[in-house]
Amino acid sequence: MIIGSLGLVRLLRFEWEFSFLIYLLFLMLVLAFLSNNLIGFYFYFEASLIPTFLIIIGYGYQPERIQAGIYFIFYTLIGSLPLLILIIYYYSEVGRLSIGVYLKGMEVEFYSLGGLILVGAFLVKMPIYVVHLWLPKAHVEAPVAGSIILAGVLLKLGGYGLGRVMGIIGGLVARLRGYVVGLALVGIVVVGFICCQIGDLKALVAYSSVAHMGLVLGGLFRGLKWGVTGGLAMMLAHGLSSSGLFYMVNVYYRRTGRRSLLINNGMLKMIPIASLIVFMLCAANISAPPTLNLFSEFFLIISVLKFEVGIILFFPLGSFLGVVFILYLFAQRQHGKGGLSVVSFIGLTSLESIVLVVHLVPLNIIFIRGSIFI
Amino acid sequence: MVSSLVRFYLGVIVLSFGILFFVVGVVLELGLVVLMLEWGFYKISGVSIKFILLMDWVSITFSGVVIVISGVVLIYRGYYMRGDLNFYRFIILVFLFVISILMIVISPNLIRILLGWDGLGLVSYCLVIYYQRDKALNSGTITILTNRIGDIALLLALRWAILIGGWDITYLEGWGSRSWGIDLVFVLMVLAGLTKSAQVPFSAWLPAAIAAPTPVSALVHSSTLVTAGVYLIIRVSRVIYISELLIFLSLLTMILAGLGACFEKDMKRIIALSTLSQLGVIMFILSLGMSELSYFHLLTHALFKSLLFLCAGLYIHGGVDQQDTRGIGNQLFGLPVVGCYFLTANLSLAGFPFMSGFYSKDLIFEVFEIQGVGLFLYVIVCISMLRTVVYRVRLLFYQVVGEIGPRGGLIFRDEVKLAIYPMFVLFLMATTGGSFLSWVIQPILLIMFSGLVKIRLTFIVFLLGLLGLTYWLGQNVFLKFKRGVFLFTVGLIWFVYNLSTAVLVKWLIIVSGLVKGVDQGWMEYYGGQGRGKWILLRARGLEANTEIGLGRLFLGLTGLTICILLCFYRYSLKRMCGWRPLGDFLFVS
Repeated sequence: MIIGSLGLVRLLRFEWEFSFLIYLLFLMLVLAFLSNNLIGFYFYFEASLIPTFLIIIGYGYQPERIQAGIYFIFYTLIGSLPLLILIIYYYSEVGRLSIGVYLKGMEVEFYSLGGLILVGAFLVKMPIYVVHLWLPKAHVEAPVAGSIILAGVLLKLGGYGLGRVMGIIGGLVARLRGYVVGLALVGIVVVGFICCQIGDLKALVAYSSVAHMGLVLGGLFRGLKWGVTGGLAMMLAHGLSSSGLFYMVNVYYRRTGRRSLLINNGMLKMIPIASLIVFMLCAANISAPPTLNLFSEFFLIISVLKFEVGIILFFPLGSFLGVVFILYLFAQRQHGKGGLSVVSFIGLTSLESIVLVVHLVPLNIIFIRGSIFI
Repeated sequence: MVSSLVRFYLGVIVLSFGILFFVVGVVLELGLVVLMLEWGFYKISGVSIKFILLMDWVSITFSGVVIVISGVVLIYRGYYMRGDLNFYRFIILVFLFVISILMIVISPNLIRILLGWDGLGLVSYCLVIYYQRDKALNSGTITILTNRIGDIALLLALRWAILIGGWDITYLEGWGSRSWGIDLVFVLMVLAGLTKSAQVPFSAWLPAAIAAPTPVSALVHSSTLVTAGVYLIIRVSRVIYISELLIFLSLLTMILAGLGACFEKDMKRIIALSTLSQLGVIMFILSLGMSELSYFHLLTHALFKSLLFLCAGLYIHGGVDQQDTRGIGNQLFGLPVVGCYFLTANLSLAGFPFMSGFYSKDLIFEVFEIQGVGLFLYVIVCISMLRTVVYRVRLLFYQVVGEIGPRGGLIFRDEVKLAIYPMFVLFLMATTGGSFLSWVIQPILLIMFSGLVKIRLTFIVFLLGLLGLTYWLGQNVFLKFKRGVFLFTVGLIWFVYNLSTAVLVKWLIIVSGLVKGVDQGWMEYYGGQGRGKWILLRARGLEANTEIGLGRLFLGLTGLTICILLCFYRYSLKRMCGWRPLGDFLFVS
């Protein structure tokens, strides 16, 4: 996870303040992943909000960025402030804060309320459907580096944290999992439907990550090793493919000056090599072989469907809708007459192609050594 | 120039590999040898993930046919799409296609099959949308979405197969049907096969997929991709054995595709519909439990159908990019060799005696007769076979004898060696492949010692079909059906199009509109947006000056939070003795 996140932070504009913010965010994230301590994790988890907030507010495109930034920060804070209280309470009860030690000697009430708080904080961060509203806003308004980090690493904090505290709330998982897995699966289907109606490229990619995170959540909460493995792999895979798509959106944005699906068409003629790359990224996003996404989705399906047979009616719909909107995204962009509002005809620059290949190569290679997740 | 040479040699190499495979397959069959290679990746929870190569005569001959056709297409394409700017894209796509179909074919493992299966869907999508046209885009979308249903079914099958603990088909077969979970695996696999081979509920994509370039249609949508579905079902046919649902679906496919082909005027669509009806035949005989026979017909069908498409491509060139059968007729003198190929392929498909289609079709017919499935089925199958002859000969009639069309005479002598020579390989196979294969792979029990009687049935059907056609053309049936509901229904191949596009899209729009309304409306109102406004309003009520009010509000909230934190801090201090404020913040556990 950490190794994967290292590759994701890239500097796209060489301004001092911006670079500083990116590096700060990067430091916070790496420390959050490295910390073996609940309060440390919490600290860096929250500290990463500030640079992200500044990136959105300071370097976004549109006036709506202020609202998006506030939205972003308050949504996450409302989720995670109770967590701090819980952590302190937990420390007072148990006396240690290291991640991964099973919680002993706590009353059952703790599980029901405290566990909800614990899970809720991560659910907002992930984000799961119902509390996902900050995500598209933040993504749409953030500059490309911001949204790459947001999609690639920041969202994974939620899943990572959930995976880490899974040891603590083991009893809770058994009680809550029906609701949470149900919510996750409903989220996948609903988000799939929503995505079919979105005309904004960035918002489309952002929403699609909600669906993927829902799958991750389902896998984690199933409590099987398959699910945890697949969730981890899916977070990495999604981090790569989704941030690649965000970067691709930016590549097109720089050519046409628009993010709308209706205007960005006919790109196959203009940047054919980008079309290949975006197809491979789309294929990764719909978990086609031989990407890591397929590997992880396969594991997640195994664990999620083991939960309840009825899911077999629900899950395929979500998966199918995922294909529908991703292909809509791809085909609308590549086909058509094009040239409606093209600002520049520059082909893929070397920086852009390097960035995209960095996304693409690990996606298609890690599959071979999939055993690292196990 | 270099690129065309590269293309040519690539094609030749692939072609020779294909023939090699074919021969090796026959040798394997004669020696009854099965080779299996296994490479374990890793194990998780007692389930090992492996990479297996299975080489028996079924897989090797099938891949031989696929590679032969792709080699021919690669060479042919050098002529057909000359001047196309993206030739490397095409070559890469064809290679990816061959790789993914080999993944399916040479593998008894469901995971590998899934890999190839998804790859096939995506690559064929790319090939269908090769031209930047709206029609191509729509066809590609319907193609991949239908195939995606199969992908998902296969994915679910993988998941249910874990009940057994392995994904090898041989292993699955060994379990047979013991519980509903294992049954579900087979049902899902058959569902996947149905989507890929375009049986009835999913058959809209195959006629739509002709928007692809013609060589692609020859490779993908006539011979190989569609038969991959059948191949999967053949692999599990020992478990399914006889299935009434499959019989029903395949009969339906046969009928509607054959009827559609009789009334269709677009040349490529006629061929696509005939592919559909032949797939119905293959699936029908498969669902009667004769898997080897259906495999036989699958191979011969692949050979002459791809030849047919290649000929159609040349005719379309000859008619200056016109696909309507009425517009490109009378090309016998313009393209004599192609006419010969076309005649052969058509007759072979119609089951003319001693062509390659005859051997498989006749056998299918006789086996079907022996099975004794009842009068109704018998009549229906007879009629659909008759119809094959009708639309075949009708196509031939228009092509060779019919009117020359508005632009038909523009290109004479469009027969280039680059196109004609590779097609000759297929031509040879379309004429002799059937008898050759019948010596090798015909199941011993099914050899009919009937001499003259052997050719009886198919020939009678053929003649009857000719008679019907004469009536058809003489009475000008088209005019009679012109305004009827019947023609409307047939033209839309029984509303399969509407069922798989318009209706679904309408529901998709309705549902997603509703859901998006909930998401951006109610949830925003009762979530962040609305609560933010609510807080602002309250704050405004506290203080006339909004900013001071907000400031107070936030101050209050912050104070409250700090108070709570302090309480907990004191509480924890009281409870615990060893409080190390700094140490716990860093990496000390």
